[in-house]
Amino acid sequence: MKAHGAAQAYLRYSRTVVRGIAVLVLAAMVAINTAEIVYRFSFNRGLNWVQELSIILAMPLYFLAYALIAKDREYIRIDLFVRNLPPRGRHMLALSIRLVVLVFHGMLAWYAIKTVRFTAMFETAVLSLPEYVFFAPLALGCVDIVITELIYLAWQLGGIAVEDERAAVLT
Amino acid sequence: MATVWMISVFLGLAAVGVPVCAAMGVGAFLGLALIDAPLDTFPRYMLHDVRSVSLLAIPFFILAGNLMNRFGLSRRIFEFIETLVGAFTAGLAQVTVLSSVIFAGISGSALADIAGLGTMQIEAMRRAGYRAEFAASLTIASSLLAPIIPPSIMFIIYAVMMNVSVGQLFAAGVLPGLVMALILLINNYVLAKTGWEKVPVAERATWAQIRGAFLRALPALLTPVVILRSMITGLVTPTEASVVAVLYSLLLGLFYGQINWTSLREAFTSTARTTTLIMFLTGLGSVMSFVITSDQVAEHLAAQLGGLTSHKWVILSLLTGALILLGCFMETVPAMLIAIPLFGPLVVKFGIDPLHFGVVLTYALLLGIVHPPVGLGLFTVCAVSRLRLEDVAIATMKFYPAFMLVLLVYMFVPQLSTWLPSVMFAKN
Repeated sequence: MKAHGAAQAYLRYSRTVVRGIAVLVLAAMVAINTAEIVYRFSFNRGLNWVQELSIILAMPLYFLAYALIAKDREYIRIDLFVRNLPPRGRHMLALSIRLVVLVFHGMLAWYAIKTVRFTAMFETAVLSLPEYVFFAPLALGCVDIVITELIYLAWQLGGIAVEDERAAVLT
Repeated sequence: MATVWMISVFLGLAAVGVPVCAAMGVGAFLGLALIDAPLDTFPRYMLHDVRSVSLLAIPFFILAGNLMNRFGLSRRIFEFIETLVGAFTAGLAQVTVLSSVIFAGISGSALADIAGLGTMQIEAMRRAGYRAEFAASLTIASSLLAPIIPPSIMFIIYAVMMNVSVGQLFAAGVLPGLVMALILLINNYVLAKTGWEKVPVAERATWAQIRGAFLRALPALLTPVVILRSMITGLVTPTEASVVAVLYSLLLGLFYGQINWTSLREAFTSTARTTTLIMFLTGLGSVMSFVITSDQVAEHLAAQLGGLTSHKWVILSLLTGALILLGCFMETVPAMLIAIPLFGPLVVKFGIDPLHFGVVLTYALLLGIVHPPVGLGLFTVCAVSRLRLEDVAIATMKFYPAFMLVLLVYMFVPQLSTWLPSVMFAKN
């Protein structure tokens, strides 16, 4: 029970943190791009750091925030086959699918961490920040997804139902 | 062969219910391994395209659409058009199409159109005496306007992957979008006049009512004008135009007194979720695209097709057929990410304008959202209207002739897509 409580607490706090970061970087992106437009209209030249900073800020929005999809189980999926299976088949398939998701994100996390370590040797073109700023959100997001999926896998194996939600608006 | 394995594994895993991202990712890892590329390069290829400045427009346009919905601006647009054309034949049905045209000029997402405008469109039509299933199916049909009329999220992804100008592609979508709207209006009229769909007669609004609704909606109605005009005049880039759209939406929220922390937080959170879904997929699509390019699939396909025919219309018809088929089984964005590296070089080789193909490809893939098994539009509309999927799917069939007509026009009248960009960007 203690482990279950700790897992729930992890999911709750990490969801809040990831959501907070995503909202903050999006707000920051709006703010600095607004500053760029205003500056260009006022002084007839742009701020050269805005594009690079916008892209750096976008990385957590693109890749770290994906952990929210994993936590809320809002993956885009075709569930036609799953829906037509008997309950036991559905349970087995759900476990297998979770393993595939886990292996993929585990591999991606591994290679993203390797890339972070490699790109630490280089700097970004304008702001001279370590180049891993682009890759770190991907690595962090994937590690978070791996932990999340491990929790769900443990729950599923322990007989706790982990229902999938429908994906968010996309097209 | 790497591409065949990669796509087969992806489709196979996706078909049994593996999340599309993980299925794409596993396929892409396999593809990289088969072309003997080091797997360490996966994250770098994944970030290759998403580091484009043009793609920054995607979260901003999504945010603008979300803010518009939460500030009740979509409702004002709908109410104004209702007073204007609500009393004509199939009046409210025409209102649904026309309000989607305007909303399309703000959001760029079909499902955002359904989720935002759809609820009120279906409710208003139900109240007026239309069949709920017809209202729902019309909502799906008119939502197809959103990714064609600029700004369009799908166009931005296409432009980045095909290396064409986002601004030109936006311009390419204007006339096809208006033609689609016209065909849907005619379709509604024919359905009403022939009695295939029973439509109630509404009372004509007075001039005072029209004027009042117009004044209430005017700032919201100006949003597409602000976005498009700032881009067309070259005042701002498409990415900056998306920021202008956000600022304008915030300004309107302030102006209408609708701005509050809850609506802002909801709009930002929802935007983050949608953006990450699209961009994670786009990143994985970049890896797949690298495998497809390294495998020289487009060259092989060109050689095969070139042996069959050299006529560009036949090639375009074959590709469109393949795209429709792909859209039947896959969500639009991942389908697009696979289709572009496969078909893009082919299109250029056979002399088809990439802007023209962008419109055809987007629309052909979009058709997948209106019918099962993927049918995301169908699922979304059923979720907001609480109707049965089968009933809405059957009702949507009344629009299939219109969908097909639109597709044929897009395919065989390329000037519809290429004329406006050639005029607007002539100086460049």
